Amino acid sequence: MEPLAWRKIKSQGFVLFWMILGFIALIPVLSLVIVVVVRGLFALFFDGFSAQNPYYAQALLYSFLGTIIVAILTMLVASPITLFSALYLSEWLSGKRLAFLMTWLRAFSDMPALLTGMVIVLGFPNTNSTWVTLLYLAATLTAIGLPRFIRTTYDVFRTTSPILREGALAIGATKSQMIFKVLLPSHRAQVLAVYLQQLARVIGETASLLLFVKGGQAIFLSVAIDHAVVNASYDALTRAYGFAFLLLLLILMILWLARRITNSANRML
Amino acid sequence: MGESVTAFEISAYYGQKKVLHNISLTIIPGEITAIIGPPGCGKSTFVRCLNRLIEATPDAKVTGQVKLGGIDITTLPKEEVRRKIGMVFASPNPFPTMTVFDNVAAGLYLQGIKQRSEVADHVERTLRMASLWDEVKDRLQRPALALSLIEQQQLCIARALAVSPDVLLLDEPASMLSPMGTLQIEEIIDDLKMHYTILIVTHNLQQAARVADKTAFFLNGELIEFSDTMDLFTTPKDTRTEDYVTGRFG
Ligand SMILES: Nc1ncnc2c1ncn2[C@@H]1O[C@H](COP(=O)(O)OP(=O)(O)OP(=O)(O)O)[C@@H](O)[C@H]1O
Ligand SMILES: [Mg+2]
Repeated sequence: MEPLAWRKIKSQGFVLFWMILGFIALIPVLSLVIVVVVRGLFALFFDGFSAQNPYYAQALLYSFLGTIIVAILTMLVASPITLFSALYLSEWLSGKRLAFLMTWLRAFSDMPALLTGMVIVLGFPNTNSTWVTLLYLAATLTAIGLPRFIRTTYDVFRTTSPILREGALAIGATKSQMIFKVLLPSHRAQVLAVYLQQLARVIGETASLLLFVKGGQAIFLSVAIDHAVVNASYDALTRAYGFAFLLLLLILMILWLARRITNSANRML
Repeated sequence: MGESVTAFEISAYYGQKKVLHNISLTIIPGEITAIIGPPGCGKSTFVRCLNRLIEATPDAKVTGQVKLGGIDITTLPKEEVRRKIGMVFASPNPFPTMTVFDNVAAGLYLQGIKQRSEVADHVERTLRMASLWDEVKDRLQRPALALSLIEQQQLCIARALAVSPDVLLLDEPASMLSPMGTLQIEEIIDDLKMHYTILIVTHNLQQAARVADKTAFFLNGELIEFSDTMDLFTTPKDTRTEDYVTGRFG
């Protein structure tokens, strides 16, 4: 047994640690808010965009739209693949093969965003078409994100109690009826919540990578900020911050929605 | 009226591990048969062999034969076997996103029976058999999870009965319920025995003594003794049975 006083100090130290960590995390958020407040709506100004000179133009609208479109395209492509792969893993595979696949999925699902960025730069298509660029980005994000999507969705099915499956089979359901008429409907809220969380993550990931997509160009937010600082361009910096701020709001909203859905689903079960 | 179920030299394995050893047993209509035995002795595994639910466990293997009214169940589609030999589980497991009505009707829907009047008839009849109709007749469109635990278990009984089984297997159906709920389930089962062949697994010896006409005692995957409940409890032939029913172990 540890002495009580020592345990108390330890737990207080822990609280302090988390408070400091929380404060550090707040700094970028606050700085975003402050920039938007100080510079006003200018930071969120959409107009007068020029592809030739994105840093100094008001590229926010394209940045924002580009990110959203990429995220939605990614989810459109990834969702069905994710669902069927997760079901395959949880309902058909077992034993050694499952363990083997899961090891790989786990390894690949924590790929850092930096690597994602490098892969994107590597294969970036040489084109003038905005849509080709968007599709390329969506395809790359799908390929890179898929292991994580599958793993999180798989976890939803894996944590179901077997009694739900048995209940369906025991009244004469075939395996596919059990999956599509009972298992899936019973988990639609959880699956939706997982998808929303992943969507938020894709947006976040794209956001750090893309400032704007048009005419086949994409500019990374970090590069844009760096460029703005080097050139002492107050406007460009403001817009980069404004852009980040909007996306942050969007991500928070999506995550909040996902939480609401999870909570109500949990209350139901 | 139910059909008899005959198990002939059933052995079961999970992977390499043998958990049932040559069990032969016949359960007949109009009676309640109980299976008793300590935890892990293979009671659930045995009843899952009877409706081929064991086949849903990836590494399970079964040898031997089960006959339903003289027909080898492996010659029938397993979905049909499971409809004819219904099952109720220890924890009530209504389908969480369905209404009370749809839960009972689920088995019919799965067979493609959609005609509203026919389905509604079935639902009412089986809810009555599960003594639940009066409680839920005004709540049929409410979510099943809004029911109390005992009502949920009654709902599961109705759900099993809705696909017109001959046999009803109950694997510790009252183990999650209060003493009152337990008695209620026992009454329902007693009413059902006129129409179905009933097998109940229980770890509650008093329950077996109260409801069962015949009782089987399992130990370590073996059938030690099978006889009239009265005889098994008062004049057991095997000393291991005697030790168990007198509470010396288990
Ligand atoms: N899916 C499985 N995989 C491997 N072993 C299993 C599996 N299910 C059960 N077993 C083992 O088989 C043996 C019999 O289990 P079973 O569930 O049939 O016993 P039971 O008599 O129903 O026990 P209880 O009273 O706890 O419900 C136990 O030793 C158990 O550990
Ligand atoms: Mg059991």
